[in-house]
Amino acid sequence: MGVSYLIKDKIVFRFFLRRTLWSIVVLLVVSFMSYTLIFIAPGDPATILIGKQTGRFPTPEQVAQFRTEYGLDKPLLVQYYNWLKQAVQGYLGQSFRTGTSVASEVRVRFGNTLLLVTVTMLVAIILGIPSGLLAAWFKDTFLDRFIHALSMLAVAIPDFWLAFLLILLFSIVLRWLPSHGIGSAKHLILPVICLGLANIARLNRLTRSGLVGVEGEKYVLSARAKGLTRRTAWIKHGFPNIAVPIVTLIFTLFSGAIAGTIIIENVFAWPGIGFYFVEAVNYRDLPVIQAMVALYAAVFIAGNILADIAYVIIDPRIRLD
Amino acid sequence: MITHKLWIKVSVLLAVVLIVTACAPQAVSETKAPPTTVESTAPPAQPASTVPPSTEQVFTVAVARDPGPLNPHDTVSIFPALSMIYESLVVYNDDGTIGPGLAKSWDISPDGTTYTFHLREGVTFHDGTPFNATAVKWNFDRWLSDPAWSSIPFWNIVVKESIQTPDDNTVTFKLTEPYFATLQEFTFTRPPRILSPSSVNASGEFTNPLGTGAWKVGEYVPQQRMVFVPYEKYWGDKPKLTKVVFEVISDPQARINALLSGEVNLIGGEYVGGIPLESIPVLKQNPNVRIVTGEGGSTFVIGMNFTKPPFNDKTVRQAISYAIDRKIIAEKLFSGYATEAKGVFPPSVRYMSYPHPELYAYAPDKAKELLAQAGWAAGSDGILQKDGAKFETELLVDAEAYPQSKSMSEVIQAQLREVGIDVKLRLVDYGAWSDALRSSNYGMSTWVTYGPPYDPQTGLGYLFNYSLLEMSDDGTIFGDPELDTLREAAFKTTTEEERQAAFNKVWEFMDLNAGCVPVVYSVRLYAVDNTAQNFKLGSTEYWLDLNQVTMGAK
Repeated sequence: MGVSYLIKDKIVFRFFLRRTLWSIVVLLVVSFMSYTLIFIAPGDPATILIGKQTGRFPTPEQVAQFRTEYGLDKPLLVQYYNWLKQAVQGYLGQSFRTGTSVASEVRVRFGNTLLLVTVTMLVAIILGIPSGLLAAWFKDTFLDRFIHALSMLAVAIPDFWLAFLLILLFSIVLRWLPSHGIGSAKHLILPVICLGLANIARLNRLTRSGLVGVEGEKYVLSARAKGLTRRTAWIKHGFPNIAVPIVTLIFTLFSGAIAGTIIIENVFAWPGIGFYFVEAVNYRDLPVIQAMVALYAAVFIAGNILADIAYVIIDPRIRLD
Repeated sequence: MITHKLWIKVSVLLAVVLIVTACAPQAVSETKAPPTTVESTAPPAQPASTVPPSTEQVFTVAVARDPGPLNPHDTVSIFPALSMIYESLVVYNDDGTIGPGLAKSWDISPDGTTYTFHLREGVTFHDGTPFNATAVKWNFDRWLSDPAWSSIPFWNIVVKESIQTPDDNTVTFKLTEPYFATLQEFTFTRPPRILSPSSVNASGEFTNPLGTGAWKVGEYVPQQRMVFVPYEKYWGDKPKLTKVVFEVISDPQARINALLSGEVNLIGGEYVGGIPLESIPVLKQNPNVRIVTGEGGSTFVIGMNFTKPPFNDKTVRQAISYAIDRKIIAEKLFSGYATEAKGVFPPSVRYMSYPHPELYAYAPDKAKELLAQAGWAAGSDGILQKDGAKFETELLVDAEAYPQSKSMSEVIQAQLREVGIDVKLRLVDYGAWSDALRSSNYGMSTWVTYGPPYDPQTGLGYLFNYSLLEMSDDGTIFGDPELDTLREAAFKTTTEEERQAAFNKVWEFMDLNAGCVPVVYSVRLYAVDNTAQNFKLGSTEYWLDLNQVTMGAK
């Protein structure tokens, strides 16, 4: 099986077509649900926004004016349709709160979050998988148990607690690293450690258990009894079998990380989408919330599709259907 | 053979992963939107702990939110940033009196309806445009024509067509009736501060923040920092610092970390970047920082739904006031940094007086007595009952707005239980809270008053206004037609003695009717890095006063 399989095969083409259609359906459903939920949630954007802006409740006239201006007085379906029409053209509206273009704000902030998450995942892969290999190779030795203990610790420590601890040590006491902000490699170090530690551990655990599991399979044991070296067993049987679960995990962690950085972004004043989203919800800032929900959905869907592509490349037994 | 193919697959997979991840951040930076983009590769702000060149004096302030586009006629930008670059005709002094600002003097007609301002000469905006009466009129016309500002009493009272500019340095306004707080309202950070007419484009849209203030805007990286530099042609005393940086840090703990690590020099202030009270011990212990406090301007109050039973009975409200131990709350919840309330506003609010401090003592027995008088008797479970119904109520708490609200509510819940009232706490966010109030669907709620320069007039005119209640029954802590009359009389007074006497009557009415239950007065809390000298609090929480700050060597 080669990579050319991907491009020429009709099955693959149908797969992508089906997947794309389903993705669109999912995005539509998700965005409609989110619009509806905000619509029925207590708290009227007009009251909140005018109230928070002027420091006091708006008069009924002010509320009516706001609602007309933003089309909030129309029925739910009409409003949703209007949003959708503009969204597919790339116009995500203007934030109710600040009036700035949602699309440009999201683009910039998403870029910052993506940077953080990507570096975190790379670090997790570079440290997590090799350490898992080590642990499996030296199974049941001190090294293996030590790595195991570290992994347990890494998963158990809450990321924000670790954040404060690291800030205390490296920013306040030693003054080696900045405590917040974005802008240089130094700014990435602490947030990446906080976000990455648990992910390193998860990849490590999965790699180790996968390899140990394969080594324990009867066919591997018989092959080894007949003279197959451990190294060859790993290469021929170990790696291929763990590739799919590891790829799944990587994409799952990546998608989850995009959504889960909000606490770390807050603590490190990292200008990403997490905090932006929470503020938008508080203010019932409809255009922003809609854009964010659609974005998160798209990220998860993209992650899934990429994972599927990866499976096809790795494992010839998998067919795309 | 199989090995070879496997390696190809793995390397292709890795390549795909790397390409996807490597391309993503780059693509984003290439499609940057114009001016308001974050420069993610921009150099970080100069931390104060590194030694700057000997001529640089940089003072960094941690702010909780992005400063905003700095249009003084909208409500998006933050107060301290607006007050750095914009000035008003008059200033609010530390003692609450009004002093000259862009107007060097003013006259008020004997009937209190005509105000004439004599403007300072030789003042220019940050781009060199001259400041004069035409610019002032342009500013007022601009926001007086916007109904979004109708919540400001001056907006309603001024005769909009009456603004005259008899010469370049004189502006007059006419009001439909005398209003004692006219000058006070002129000191607000928005909207009455003066923007340069050259700040707008051909269609009249705001494009550039240009004011007359001692500071003008330098660099601005949205969501990260805003840099202010001194305006060389400022008419007043020039600041000593060479740069002020507003650094955006939304998490309160992260602000404290940044102060302790030397990256920022100032944190605190309700509208800048608040400090959680629990962190005071940490700040106290650190030898590199000092805590600066001042008398607070606002009050934490408990308001009750006075239009319905059981709180429509003034005896019940008075009882609740007696049932609360304010001393414990001030000492324990606020680490001694708050003062017990003796009236609805703190002493820093002008014209405040305390005719009945005895009503604010902690006297649970008196509370029980009053409740009994109102017809409530304790049932077997200790909860009061009347006509078969229990005294149960709900207390709404918006913990986000004021973090202390939650712990305060819990204490109050316990204290009211002691006298037989069963209070359930309902934590809500601002959206749900405003909904509940609009539909009058609440029993009790926490509130915080605005503080100077908005009080006493905005508090009285908006939070305690009965006529507003009938228009839209929301956001009113307490109202009574008689209070409205007393308030209007006080607002129209034209001499100081009349005024104080009229306000005394207002406070007396509020005390005796227990319109709300004031609990404690807030504290103004800031922490400064010790490398900065001469830091003092602004005359109100709504602005900072940085003009005399200097940075010494560490």
